[in-house]
Amino acid sequence: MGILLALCTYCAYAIFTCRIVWRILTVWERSAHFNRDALSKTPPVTILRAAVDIFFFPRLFRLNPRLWIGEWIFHLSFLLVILRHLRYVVSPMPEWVSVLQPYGICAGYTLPFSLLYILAVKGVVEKKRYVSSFNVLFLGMMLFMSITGIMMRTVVRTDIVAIKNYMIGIFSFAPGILPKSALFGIHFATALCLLAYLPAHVFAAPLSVLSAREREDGLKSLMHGE
Amino acid sequence: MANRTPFTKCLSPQQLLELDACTQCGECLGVCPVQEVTGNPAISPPEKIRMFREFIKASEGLKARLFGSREIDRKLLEEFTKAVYECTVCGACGQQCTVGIFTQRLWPMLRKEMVRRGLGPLGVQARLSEIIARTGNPYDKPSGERFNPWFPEDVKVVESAEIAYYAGCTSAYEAQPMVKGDVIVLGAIGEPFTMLPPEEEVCCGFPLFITGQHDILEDLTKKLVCAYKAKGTKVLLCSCPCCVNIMTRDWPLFYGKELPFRIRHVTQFASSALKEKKLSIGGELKEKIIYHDPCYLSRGVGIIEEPREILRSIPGVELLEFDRCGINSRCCGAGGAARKVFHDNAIAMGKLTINEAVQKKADRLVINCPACYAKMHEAMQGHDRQITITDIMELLGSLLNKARL
Repeated sequence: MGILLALCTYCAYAIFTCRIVWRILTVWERSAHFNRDALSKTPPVTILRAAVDIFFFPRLFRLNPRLWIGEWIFHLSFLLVILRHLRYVVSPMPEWVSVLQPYGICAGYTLPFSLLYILAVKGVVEKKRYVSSFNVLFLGMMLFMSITGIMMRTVVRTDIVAIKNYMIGIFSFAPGILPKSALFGIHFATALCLLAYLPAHVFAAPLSVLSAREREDGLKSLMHGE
Repeated sequence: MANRTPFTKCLSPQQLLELDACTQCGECLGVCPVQEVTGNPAISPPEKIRMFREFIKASEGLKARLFGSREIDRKLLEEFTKAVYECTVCGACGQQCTVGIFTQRLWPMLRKEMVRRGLGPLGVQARLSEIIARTGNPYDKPSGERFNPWFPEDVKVVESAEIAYYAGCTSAYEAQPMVKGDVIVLGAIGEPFTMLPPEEEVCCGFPLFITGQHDILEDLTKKLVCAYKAKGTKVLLCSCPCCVNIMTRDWPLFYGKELPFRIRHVTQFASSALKEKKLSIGGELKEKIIYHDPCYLSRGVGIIEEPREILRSIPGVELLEFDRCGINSRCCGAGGAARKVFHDNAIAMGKLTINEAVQKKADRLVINCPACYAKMHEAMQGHDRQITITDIMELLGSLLNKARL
């Protein structure tokens, strides 16, 4: 079973890597047909403002503050949880990962609540006319994964040393024995599914936001410059 | 063309990224004017992006590259084509997009792809390219009627000058009070200006660009740019937001280099003239005026303040604002060359704007775009809530005339 899950991990990473590489190649292929000189150098102030746009989602805040609070907490929690989980795959553990642990634990609890909040706002409060079934599935899987994660910490405590040994084994291409926890198996398998089908917007959206910031900052000079 | 060939030929790398960047959050539906009047999520921005992603995936996705592309159902492609042409390309979805997708340029490129596949354009749009190539305008009108019916006799146009004025096809044929107002104001400012002869002032290319028919765009652009360059133009003035938009954003690409002149909207020129006292308003207008921002002018090229400066400078005027104004304005229904194909949608959108103007107790609705001007007048016909509709330069020109009298 341990070997099977390890093979699934390699497959999930392979799918993830191929998807990213294919997308980069597709964009690169198209860029050959366009004038690259036309790309202007982005001023540092625009990059700074774009960074604020990427980290704080002001575009969503202006449009829907009620949804914004849920989305922002969700994204921040997710980031912290991912960083906290580095302790299972990195040895020795860097100091900054240790520092992040309490925040990561806290984020582990806020994550499912933020997901429930988002689903409630979209489905019950605002009754959105357009709901992406892929997004609902994805959010549902994340909710499931976060709940199993909390359960491993609170209800059915799992041997984290065994988990770390198993994970280190996978990442050093020498998979060991799977920890005796069905919950861990389910939690890890869900994470692999999410990794394989991670939405492309996770990588493309920050670039699109940067481009939007450049465009918005340049709008005034379009017709008003010398 | 086989329904399994690549779908990304017309897209820039940026636009490919934008397709991926869409989070399918659906927030844009709240500002989409087509959604407001149809309520059909199947033709909404995220659904169009989702469908187009599927086409790309089936024809050139990783699986398609490894195991062969998949044939896409023709009916699905036709449904997508209708959805992408029903859009007014006002760009409100992009303005409100949580990841900032530039939809005012993405939708025309998706239309271009549909044209390449023989599925677009729709209805009367299909003849645009042939008509423009033959007559120089999209209305199939003779060039002799371009200026004659409205050009004031007392306004002088010089042979060559640093300032040139481009009337534009929709203004010249469908919104004549607007262009008449433009030249009256230019004449009153007193700086010499030139114009191309009617047979040389051909279409700017916008109707073709927006409907995805790009074949003769480069020719039209080069013809116009060279003609103005020959007249010694340093500043090209125009009042049509669609023309101004394509001239500013896309002409340099079609021309192949930076334009030899600057593009300015006529309200920029008039507003500066008022500040510099080259122009004075003699009359008074005790009215509540509400100004409608054209999409291609406000969020298109950032002209928001100058029209308001002009209106505020009219003595007696109280300037009102729409709930959605400036960069967030709502489309009047005339955008995206959809007004002649999806007529009912366009009229319904026009009525939304008229209703809000009436509700805010405005005496006059001021327009700044020939397409808005024509469509708003059409939407007003038989409407139970009447309001005066005037173009901004028509209004300014009439007040200058009063002053002269």
